Amino acid sequence: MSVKFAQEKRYLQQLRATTGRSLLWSCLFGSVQSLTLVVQFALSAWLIEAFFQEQLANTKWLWWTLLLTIVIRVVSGFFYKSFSLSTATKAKTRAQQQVLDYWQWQLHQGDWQSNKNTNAANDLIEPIEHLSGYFGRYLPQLWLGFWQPFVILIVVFYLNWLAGLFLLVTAPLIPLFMALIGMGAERVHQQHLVSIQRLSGIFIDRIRNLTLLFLLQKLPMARRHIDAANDEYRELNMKTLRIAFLSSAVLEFFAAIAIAAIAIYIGFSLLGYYAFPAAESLTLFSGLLILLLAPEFFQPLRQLSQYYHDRAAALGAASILSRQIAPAAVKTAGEPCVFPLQSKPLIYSYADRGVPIHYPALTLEAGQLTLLTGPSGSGKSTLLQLLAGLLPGLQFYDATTNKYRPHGLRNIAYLPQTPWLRNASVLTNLATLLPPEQQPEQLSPSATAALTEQALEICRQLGLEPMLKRFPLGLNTNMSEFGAGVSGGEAKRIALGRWLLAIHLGFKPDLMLLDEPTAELDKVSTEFVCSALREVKQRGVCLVVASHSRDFVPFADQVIALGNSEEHPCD
Amino acid sequence: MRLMPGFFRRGFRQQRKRLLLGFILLSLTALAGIGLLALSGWFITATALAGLATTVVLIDVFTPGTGIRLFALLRTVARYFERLIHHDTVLRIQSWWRSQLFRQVSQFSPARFVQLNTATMLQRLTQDLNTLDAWYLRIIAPPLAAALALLVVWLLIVLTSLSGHFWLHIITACGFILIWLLAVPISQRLSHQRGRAEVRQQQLVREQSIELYDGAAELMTAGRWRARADALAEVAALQNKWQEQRLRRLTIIEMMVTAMLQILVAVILLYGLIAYHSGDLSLPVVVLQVFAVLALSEVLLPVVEQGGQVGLVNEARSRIHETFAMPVFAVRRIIGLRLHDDVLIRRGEITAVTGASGLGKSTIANMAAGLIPNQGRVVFADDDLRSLYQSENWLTVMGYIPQANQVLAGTIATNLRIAAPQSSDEQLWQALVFASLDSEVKAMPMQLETWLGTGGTAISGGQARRLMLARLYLQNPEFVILDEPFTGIDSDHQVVLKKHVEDWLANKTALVLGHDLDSLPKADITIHLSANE
Repeated sequence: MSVKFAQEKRYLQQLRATTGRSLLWSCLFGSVQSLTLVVQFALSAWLIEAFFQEQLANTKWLWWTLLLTIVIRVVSGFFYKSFSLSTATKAKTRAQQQVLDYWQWQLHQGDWQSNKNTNAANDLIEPIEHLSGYFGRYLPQLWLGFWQPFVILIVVFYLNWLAGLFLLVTAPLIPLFMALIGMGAERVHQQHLVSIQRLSGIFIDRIRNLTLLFLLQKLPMARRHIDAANDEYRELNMKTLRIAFLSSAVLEFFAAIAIAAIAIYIGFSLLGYYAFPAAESLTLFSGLLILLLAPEFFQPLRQLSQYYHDRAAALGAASILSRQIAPAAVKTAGEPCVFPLQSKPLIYSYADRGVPIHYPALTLEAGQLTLLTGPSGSGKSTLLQLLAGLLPGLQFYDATTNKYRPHGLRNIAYLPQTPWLRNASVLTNLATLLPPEQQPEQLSPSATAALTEQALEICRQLGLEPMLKRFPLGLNTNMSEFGAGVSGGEAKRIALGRWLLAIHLGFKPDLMLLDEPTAELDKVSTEFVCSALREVKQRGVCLVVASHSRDFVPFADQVIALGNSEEHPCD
Repeated sequence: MRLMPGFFRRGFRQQRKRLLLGFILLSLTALAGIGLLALSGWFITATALAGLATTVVLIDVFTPGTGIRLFALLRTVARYFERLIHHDTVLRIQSWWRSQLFRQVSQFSPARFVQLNTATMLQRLTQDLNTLDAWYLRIIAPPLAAALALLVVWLLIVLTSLSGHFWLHIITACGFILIWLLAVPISQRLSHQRGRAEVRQQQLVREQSIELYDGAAELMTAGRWRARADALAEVAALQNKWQEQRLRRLTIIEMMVTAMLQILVAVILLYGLIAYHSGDLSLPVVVLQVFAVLALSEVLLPVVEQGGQVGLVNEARSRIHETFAMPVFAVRRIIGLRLHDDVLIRRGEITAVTGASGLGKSTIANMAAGLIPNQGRVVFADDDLRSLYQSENWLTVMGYIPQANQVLAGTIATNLRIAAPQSSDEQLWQALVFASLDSEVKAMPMQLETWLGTGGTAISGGQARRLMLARLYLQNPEFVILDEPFTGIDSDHQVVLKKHVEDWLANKTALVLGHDLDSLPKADITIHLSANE
């Protein structure tokens, strides 16, 4: 077991180190709380004893001390929990930061393209939520689960060794039995694990496939599937729970029996009819105090067993999160771009694909358009990603050192083949790449009007006006509502419009890389896109376009045909 | 369409008897814990008094001894069965909710199905349903059990002190009421808004992280990725902060409850000891009262923490209602580009529609299937076909393979029998032969019983496509719509399949859609969509 979770445990340990001293403080206040609890009970028992013995001379200060201990107990209790909460928040914030750093690192490794998984965005939410209980409840309680029984045991031993011995013997029995039962429950759980996993997904799956079920007119049948799956799911789960709950029942049982046995032993000893060992040391004071302390001896252990599933949840989360740590920091500062850009020839191969791609040396010049041609699969998109810095490996010549150095450009406009549309208005979509202070939601009404004017200009340039006319709110129409009403070509032009708007408003890219910008476009739209790109070229931007159509041939300065490693200068 | 009001409450009402039994056990557990401590305190004090007495005092030590043991056992057993019954009941209620939800969703228009089938929506639904059972188990039942425990302890104090201790009764009653109010309504009110905000903030984190992930390439090269990531981190930090604040508020209340309870204990002790000194109360009774009140903290403190979830639960509940009350957008869907011809379908002929993606092929397929309103693009040449299309019987004679694969979580047999429940295993194999999937299924250890989807075998896109074709073969409809039927299937299989499908379509009416004619079965009529004007 311990070997199995080595990596997860290391991850949690490392997160814990980043939470600073708050866990220490929380343990400290927790310890104070335990101590005052003992003092409070002692004072109460002492008061009863004093009245019992009719020695009322000094009781006044006892009352005041009792009041004081209540105050200390409550205040330290508050700080105990409060520091536990900040530990959890710190750990979660740190874990989130790590996931984001990992994403950034991944972006430069090319992993991101190949492993783009739809669930990745979820990793920032659910696994991290599962860390809360571990850092906020389980870890602080872990210390208290040792400290409080320890303090109480010492006090009880001092008062009466037999009662102390009784507690001492039951204490290790509890984890022993719990572990045995826990193992049994785990075995049953493992037996049904796959079935439970399968059955729990049926409901959502049938919702997902509603259209199919509707077309086949099998909705009532699907409902029967759901009912049957639910019943079976419940039966399998209860099989495990029946055993799993026994483990907490064991704890309850020992706690209850220990209290009962101690009460009866003390009672009979005080009565003095029977000769019990160590009975002579018992008074009403020590008897009552032991009785009051006995439940508190078991209480932290009970809490700990309740929080135990927090640990399991955190280990599960850690198995996901520990794989999401960036091995190295990403250099964010860009290097200056000096034209002509000369790249070293490169042979690139994907880990999971056979044939490596041979890239010739490239020479890119400001204000020129380089056209990449070649059949699909010849590596056009890969070259663009290499130039964008989204895949590692490309090197540029550095005139000052007379050497090739790794790609370090940071100002690049890259348009991927599949357009990205945000769940927001057309305007917000177009403004995506502007700096934060120029986002529509940050702007004053007059500045918004100016931005809207610019955005409309871009839409005119790209021939998107008919689309806007169709939309009820024009630029302010939400793309989520109409997401399905945008054709592939329109989506493509909106994605391109984003870059054009950014360039119009001051973004100066060193390189502009476009992956099939005119695929799926009709002739008129293609013309719009070409003239817009011609204008960008005139601004002095270095363009690289991958395209299998002939749309860009008329104004390309060089054409690089991939797949047969020839280079045709054009002018 | 909306969910019926009071939907969630009805789920609980279904299981009234089990819940009542659970509640009784919950209360028994609480009362047994209190009884154990109170009786033990009384017993020790009584024996101490008897032991000190110079004359021989006869007291019955065996009845309280048995009582103590009984309480100890009762607490353990009641707690075990309480947990068992409550978990079982919750699973039953969840099952009822799911079944009812599905029934209600079944009655929605097909346009709504698409809307529900997004990753975010499904994730939200799963999460919200799982939160909901806390409503009874954490927010309703524990406060009631706590109220009962308070009442029982108060009655115990009244009965053991009887008349002449009017002020003791008043003070305890007032203290108890105040503590309960603080632990239940006040704490729930204080944490409610924070809880809801927390859930909404989480939704924001989800949306923004999806954006950051999907738009990573563009944001990164524009140099905007880090700023976005930092903004997302801030949004997430705010969620963490709200959660921390909510829990800290609960801690404050928890500590106030503790303080009030302990002070009440001190007051009762002071009152009792003075009364004992003046001979109005016996010492064992005083200890009994004090210990009973002390034991209440075990019942009261969890109530505060559990009640703190009220905001989360209410947000989940209203979000599910929201999910099902959203306006339908698909009806307003517009084909972006004009078609040259309407699609004319004749009985007994195969009509092919070709063109690049994004020209509205799938929309035409959906119109023909009747999933979205026909805007007159799809025209039926024969009157009887047209009237069939408009009738309710359309679905019984029509079979449709849409662009996206639809594989049910379940066995291969389940996936096939959903089209024709009465089919024998032999017929299933026949269908697999038709889809040239038989040799692959034979190679699987469980064959027809191989589980597909979560917790089962992952099949490739091409295999899923062929499974869809096998299903269609079993359904054997008279009218067939195929949207890119061979996408994702490798060329070797495609050749075989095309032949099978062409033979099979011989006596049927079909609408087939795809990039070009090569990717489709041979057609009688071809319509080419083109964006160029």
